[in-house]
Amino acid sequence: MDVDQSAHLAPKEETELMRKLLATLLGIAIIGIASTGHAEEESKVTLQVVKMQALLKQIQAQKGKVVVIDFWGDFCIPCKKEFPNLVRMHHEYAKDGLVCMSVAVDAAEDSANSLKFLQEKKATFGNFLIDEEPEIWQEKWNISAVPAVLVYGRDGTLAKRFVGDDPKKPFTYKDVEAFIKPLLAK
Amino acid sequence: MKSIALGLLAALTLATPLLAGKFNKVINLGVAMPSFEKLEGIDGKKYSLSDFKKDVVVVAITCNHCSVATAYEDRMIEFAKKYADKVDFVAVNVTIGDEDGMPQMKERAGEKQFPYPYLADKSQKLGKALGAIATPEFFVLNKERKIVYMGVFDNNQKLAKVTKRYLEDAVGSVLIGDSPEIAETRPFGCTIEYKQ
Repeated sequence: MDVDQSAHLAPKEETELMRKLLATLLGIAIIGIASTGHAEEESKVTLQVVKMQALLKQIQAQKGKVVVIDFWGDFCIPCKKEFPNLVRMHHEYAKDGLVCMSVAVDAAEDSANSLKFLQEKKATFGNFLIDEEPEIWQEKWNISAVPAVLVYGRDGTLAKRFVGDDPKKPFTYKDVEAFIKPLLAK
Repeated sequence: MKSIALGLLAALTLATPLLAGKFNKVINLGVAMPSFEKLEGIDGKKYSLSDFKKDVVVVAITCNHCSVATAYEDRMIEFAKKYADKVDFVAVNVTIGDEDGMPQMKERAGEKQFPYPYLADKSQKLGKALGAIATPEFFVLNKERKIVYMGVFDNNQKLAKVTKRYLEDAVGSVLIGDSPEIAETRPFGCTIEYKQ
C-alpha cells in the first residue's frame, strides 16, 4: 500500500509549523489593531470650513483657557515643519488648560488636501479653514504671511502674535511654548 | 540734554516710515530699489537691475515650490505679454531648496514658456533687502527706479474669485504718470525661509 508521506509531518516539524502559524496570525492581529487605532485617530480629525464670525465665536467659547491658534496653509512648508509642535503641545498641556486650534488659510475648494495633512499629523483638536479673502483675516489679526500663531489668555483677549512679517525675526514653537508656560501657570 | 534726547527721538520716529512700509518691515514706498548685480538667469545670462531699460519694471519675488506662486504663473505670463512694450517684467527666485535649484527653474520655465527672465537670488540678499516675506510678492519700480507699489498681484489665488487687480492697477497708474491709488498691499503666499 502506498502511503503519501508528504501529508504527515514528524511531531517536531508539526510543532515548528504551528509556532510559525501562530506567530503569523499574531502579527496580522497586531497590525490589524494598530491600523484600526490609526484609522480611529484619523477619523477623529475633522476640519470645519468657517467664515470669520464663526471662527471668532469658536475662539470666544474658549474663555477661561489659554488658546493657541496656528494659522497655516497646505502650500506652506515652514508651517508644515512647525505643525507637529502644535500637536505635541496639545498632548502635553491640555491638562493644564491649553486649547490648541488650527486655522487653514487654503482655498475652501482645496479643503480635502488640508484635512489630509491634519489627519496625517493626528491633529485631534479644533481645526478650521477660514473661507474668506486673505485680506479679511490678515486685517483682523495684522498677519501677512503664514505660519502665524496667536495666543489668547484665559481672559479671552489676545495676548501675543507670533508672525513672520520681518525676515530678520523668524519665530518657532520654542518661542510660543516659552510664552504660554507662565500663562498656563496663572 | 533732555530736549536734545527728545529731539533725537522725534527725528527717529519721523524717520521710521522711511525704513518700513505699512506692511513691509524693511523697505518703504518711494525709496530706491535695492540694486542687484549679475543674478544668474535660466538662459545662462547674468542680469543686473541696470539691464532693464523700460519706464516701468516689475520685480516678482517668486519660486518653484510654492503652490500659491505657481497659481500666479499664468497671470504673470499674461501680464508680461500684455505690457511687453512698456514694462520690463522680471521674476526672481529667492528661495533655497531642492525644488528651487537652477535645473528645476529651467525645467519649470521651459514647461510654462516664461516670456520673462527668471533669475536666482542664491544669496537671498535681494529678497532680504526688499523685505520680501512670501512668494509671490511684487514690486513696481518707476522710471527713477523707486518703489511705487509693493504687495500682491491681486486679491485671490483662485483666478475666478479675483475682484481686485492691485498690480495691474498700480502699473496702469504709473504708466500714465500717476501714483497708484493703492500702493501697498499685504503679501500672501508661502513664507520665504531665509538663512539667518
